[in-house]
Amino acid sequence: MSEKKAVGTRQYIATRIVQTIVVWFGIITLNFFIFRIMPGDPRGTLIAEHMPPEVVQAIALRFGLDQPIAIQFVLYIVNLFRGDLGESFSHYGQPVIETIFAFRFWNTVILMGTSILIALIVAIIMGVIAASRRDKVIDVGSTTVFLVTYSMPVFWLGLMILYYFGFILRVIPLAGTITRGIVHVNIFHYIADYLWHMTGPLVVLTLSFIGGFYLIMRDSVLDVFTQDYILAARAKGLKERAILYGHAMRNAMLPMVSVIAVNMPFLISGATITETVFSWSGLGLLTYNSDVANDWPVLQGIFLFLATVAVLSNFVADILYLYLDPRIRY
Amino acid sequence: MSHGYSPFPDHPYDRMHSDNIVYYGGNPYVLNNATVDALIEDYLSASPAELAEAARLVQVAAKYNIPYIPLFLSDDTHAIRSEWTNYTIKPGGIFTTFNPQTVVFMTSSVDNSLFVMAYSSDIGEMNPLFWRSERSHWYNMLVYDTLLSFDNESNLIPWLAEDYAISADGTQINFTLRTGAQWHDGLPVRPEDVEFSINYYKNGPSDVNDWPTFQHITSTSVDGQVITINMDQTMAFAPHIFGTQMYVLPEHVRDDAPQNDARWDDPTNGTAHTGSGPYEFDSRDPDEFTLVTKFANWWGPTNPYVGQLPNIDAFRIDVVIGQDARILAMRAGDADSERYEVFGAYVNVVLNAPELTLVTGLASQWDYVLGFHLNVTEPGFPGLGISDFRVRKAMSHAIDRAQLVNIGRLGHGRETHSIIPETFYASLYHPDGDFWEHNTTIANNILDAAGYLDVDGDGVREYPGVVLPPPPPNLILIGIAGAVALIIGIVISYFIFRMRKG
Amino acid sequence: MNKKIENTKQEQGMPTTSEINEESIDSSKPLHVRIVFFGVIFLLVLTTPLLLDVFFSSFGMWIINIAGLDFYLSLIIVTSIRVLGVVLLIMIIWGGFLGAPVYYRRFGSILTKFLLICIGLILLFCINLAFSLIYFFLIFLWTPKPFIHWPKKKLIIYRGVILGTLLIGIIVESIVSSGIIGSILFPPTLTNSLSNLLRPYGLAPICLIGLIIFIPIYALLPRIWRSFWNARSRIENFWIEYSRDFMGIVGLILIGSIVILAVFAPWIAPYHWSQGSLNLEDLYQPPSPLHILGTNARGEDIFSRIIYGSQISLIVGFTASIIAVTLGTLVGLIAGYFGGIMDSVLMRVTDVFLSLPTLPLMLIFLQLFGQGLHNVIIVIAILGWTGTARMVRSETLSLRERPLTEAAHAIGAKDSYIIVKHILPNTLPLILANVILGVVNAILAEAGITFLGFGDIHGQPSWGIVLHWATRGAALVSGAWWWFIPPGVLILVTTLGFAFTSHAADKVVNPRLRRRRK
Repeated sequence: MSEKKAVGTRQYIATRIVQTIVVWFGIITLNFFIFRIMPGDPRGTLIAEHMPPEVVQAIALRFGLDQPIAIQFVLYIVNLFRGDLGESFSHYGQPVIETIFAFRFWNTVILMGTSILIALIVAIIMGVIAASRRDKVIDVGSTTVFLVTYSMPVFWLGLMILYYFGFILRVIPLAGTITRGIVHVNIFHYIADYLWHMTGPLVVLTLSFIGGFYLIMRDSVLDVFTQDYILAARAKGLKERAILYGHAMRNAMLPMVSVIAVNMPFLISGATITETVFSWSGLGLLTYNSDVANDWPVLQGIFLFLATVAVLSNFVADILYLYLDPRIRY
Repeated sequence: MSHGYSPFPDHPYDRMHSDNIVYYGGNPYVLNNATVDALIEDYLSASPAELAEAARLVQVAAKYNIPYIPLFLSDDTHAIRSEWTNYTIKPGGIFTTFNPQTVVFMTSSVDNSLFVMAYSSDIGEMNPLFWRSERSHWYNMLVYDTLLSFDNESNLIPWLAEDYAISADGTQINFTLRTGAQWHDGLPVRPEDVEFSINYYKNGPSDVNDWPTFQHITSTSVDGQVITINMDQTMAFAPHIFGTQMYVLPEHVRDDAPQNDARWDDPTNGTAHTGSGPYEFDSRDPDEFTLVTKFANWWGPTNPYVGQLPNIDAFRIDVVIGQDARILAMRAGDADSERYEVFGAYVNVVLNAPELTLVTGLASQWDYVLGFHLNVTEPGFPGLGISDFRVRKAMSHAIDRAQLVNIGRLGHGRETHSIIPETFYASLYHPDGDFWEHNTTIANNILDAAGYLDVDGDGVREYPGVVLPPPPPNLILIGIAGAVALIIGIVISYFIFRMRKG
Repeated sequence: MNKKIENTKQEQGMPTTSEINEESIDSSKPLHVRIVFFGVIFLLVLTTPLLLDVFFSSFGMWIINIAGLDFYLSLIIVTSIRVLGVVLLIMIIWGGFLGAPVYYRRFGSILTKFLLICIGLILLFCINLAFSLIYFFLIFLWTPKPFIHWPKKKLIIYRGVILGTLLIGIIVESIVSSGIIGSILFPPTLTNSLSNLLRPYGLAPICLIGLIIFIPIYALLPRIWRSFWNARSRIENFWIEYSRDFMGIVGLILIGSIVILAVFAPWIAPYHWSQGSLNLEDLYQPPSPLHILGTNARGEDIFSRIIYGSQISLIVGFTASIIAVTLGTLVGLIAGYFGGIMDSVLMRVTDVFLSLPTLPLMLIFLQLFGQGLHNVIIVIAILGWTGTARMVRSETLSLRERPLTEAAHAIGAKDSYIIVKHILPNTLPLILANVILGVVNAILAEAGITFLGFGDIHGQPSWGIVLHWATRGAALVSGAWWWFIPPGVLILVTTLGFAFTSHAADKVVNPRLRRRRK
């Protein structure tokens, strides 16, 4: 690395850091005000059936909802840096951090992580094979199949799987992450039970991710094939297999880095509809429930967390690119 | 819109008093009428002797103001697996928070070891002072006891208290605690525990349930098994609130921590959930399940209204989110019933499923009404339309409740004619408060007399004083205008460009 | 300015745009190419005035509502403006055919100025005084004459200060006065529209002045048509490449059949979608000769509802996608072309939008705006433009560096001219591919949103709404396959059609994906 490039790189990274922080602050502000201009009143959530207005006002006082909006915003920022995201409305009085991270976060990360990983692996393998056997049966066939999964309405697929495989054939459970009420003999029993419950949502989510990944992978391999260095390698008489795995695949993986970065928020946000259909207690389901219940603090917490992850992963992807792709100079 | 009934009719205050005209409040009709307010206040502070007359006046006031038209109560069409029988049929339904009898008496023809209740979302709070939804409340009812309960006609009956008495002016209530009751940890339930609970509620933060009512307590005292509550004013439903809404809590567990301590919601801390109810807390996995098991030393057998221990060994509350998934879970045997009644097409699904039974012939607590926002007026027509009493009265005459129940609930519902309907509150209902009978001729006559006439003959009446609107746009005219535009355009352009060239 | 460039080209002996096109027309083209070409041109020329007219009449009615005029008077106003627009349109065509295009004269720039003023007037009269102030500032005070010699830095500070003050004022104002709790800092006049202020005095009709905007827009039509005609060789080449792809043809056939279904829905469907029944025996009927796919909870014919549903799904798909891509293109072009601080700001905004989870945000926005069909479209569009913006930006960046663009710069061409003439045409294929892919995403998003019950579920049904009512009607658990399978399959077929088309079009547009011909 030349001296000049190193300086340029350092400057680039510094700018990116500043930009990342600015974006993050933008998101915090947006995050706060989106929920303040919502028409629904959170106090509505806090009133159960038959609750006299005095109690409702007392609750509003407890959550600081009687304060002017500007003071609420300052409090929000101050508390944010103290690591306090407030208390959930619908999980009455539970700290938001606990609501998000106690177990829902892990359920989502495991489910989404596994499905994205499987989708990535299958997509990369199939993408490379399809690109190398261009316009053959396997290429056209797999492209068609993956275009179908790409265009599939996820919620519909989920319901069908739940009904036909869960109820009619009884091969997957109908709800939850574990069998309810049983005591697990040991950790392996627990894991097996957990994985069994994960089958339904996993299949649905993997199918929903795989199409997009496959198309990008196939395109970028094809793209690499037209580059001069591949032609040079062919001219040198290298074997097709060696070209494919030695040169083409490695370079075609580059766009996948940004694909993974863009998909990082999904890893956390979870799939709202799929989690609802399979009663999978993750962040997607929490988001949906909080949305329906006007539970602002939880929604704010989730959005903030997601935005942080997204901003960071974009930043990391940019920096990675810098080192992975020798063509980029700043 | 629909409302939920509690076992005692204090809802006129929520729905019709001007105090509750706040935009998150219970009076969305914006009824602001000093007479109605006064009648409701009299009703809520009536002594036992005055109560029936006060209730009659409130019902009549509603009839002559019509903030909303009572339509029907839905039936509690619960889906339950067929092997379960002997649940208690009580206004409000079989699984309400004021029906602890069902969980005691219900029995299975196959296996009594476990009953699984499917919930659409997890219980929010375990602390009985802060339940915020009927879901959590129902769990509280399993684990904790109230002093009184309701029989099948919604009358108060002894429960953890053996007896109760109200002074003639209604400002003093005496509860007599039964002997031999035990906490889940084996210690006896003492009258001091009851006194402690009352003050625990009263001295808690202001968002404790029913906190304002507890503030009217001036003093409490214990004499043998009798606990005495003195209040600063008469409250018609004080025995109901102190007797059936307050859970009796163990002083030796609760004494050392505040009312809203995090421990009372901690699923891993078993002793924090010590109560005296028919079931004791066993285990819980948030968003998955909550398990309670039978308490063998419950006082139930000594109560003439109960006379036995529960038949079922354990209750489990499972979270199954979709309605479809719950029905499938019940059919597959993973769940036995669900929290809310089924409605719409699901009624037919349950009726057609061989494994399931549909509970019928029982009013639920959901009360469907046609509400009016009384402050909305059409610009230019002040005091007319919905805010015109004659219009609301005509609508009240025009409504066919039987048809509504047939279409809306597939026949599973019962008509309500008063704001304190006979089906639910038989003792306080009065026929004077019945809304205007179904008669479309009268309805039409009222509107004709009031000047709401169908001027343009389209089948919809216009406001009084509306004249015929101008005729609709003439298509031919528009066509001619277009043609003229075309010609003008051509002519003008022709001349302009000819001039340019020249 | 434009004329200058044409002249320069001719002086240098370069072929003008029209000459290039003349050369490329080849008499030995297969018939289907000709048919497709004329079909496309015909469709485009037909739909643009139609769309303009539809947009104009709904927009006009909206403004008239604000002014509070009665129906009769408003009809006269709208019709007369339409007539004036048509007159102008004919004059332009006439002038264009007879002599040099009018736009190359002063007329063109007058038109543009006029347009800008009209937009400002509409803002002023109908939306918000503060917004219109910002707008007027942007047009007329961006580079005011006295400051023209200021250094760039000073100008930027000047603009930033004024913009920032106004924006902060508006934000604070709209939050503080939104009815939560707080005091009002500004007089309410600033957040009010002028028509609201004028209405008490009976002067509201003044705000109709803004409607005159449509006359110059009519005048711009021939210009658009001309650019369609100039693009004919591109269209033909595109089609020749495209028609070689089997998958693409299948996709077109799928889309074509759905479009036919949607257009002819009133004749195909045996009932109207809202024709229900109140008799108990007509509800929840299984399939029968009378009702091919049975009836729902309100006794409505499910088959008819699904047929009509194709209209909503396609409308949402196309409109949302076109709005999103237009927005994304604008952001991408501006960010990519101007670079610098503009680029940073716009791309950071894009990052913010990209990093928020889509579906929950859509649901929140729908709660915010209300759940009508147009709101569903807007919500999908405002959350779907980020991908396009990024792509267009990087494409613009590379195009900006090309010699042709630099040459145009060197001879003093305006930025807007370079964007419209050089950069936009070259990014068009990319934009087109994004539109098609955007339709897939929009249809799926709409289905998901309405399936969850957000959206106008009581109005004309989309397939998502049919599925929503199917789950509400216990279709799945009662085994009513006729209720929940067909809408899902139709969604799949439609999106698959677009996915196939997009895949095939991508092959054509992106030469690297094209196989090298031997």
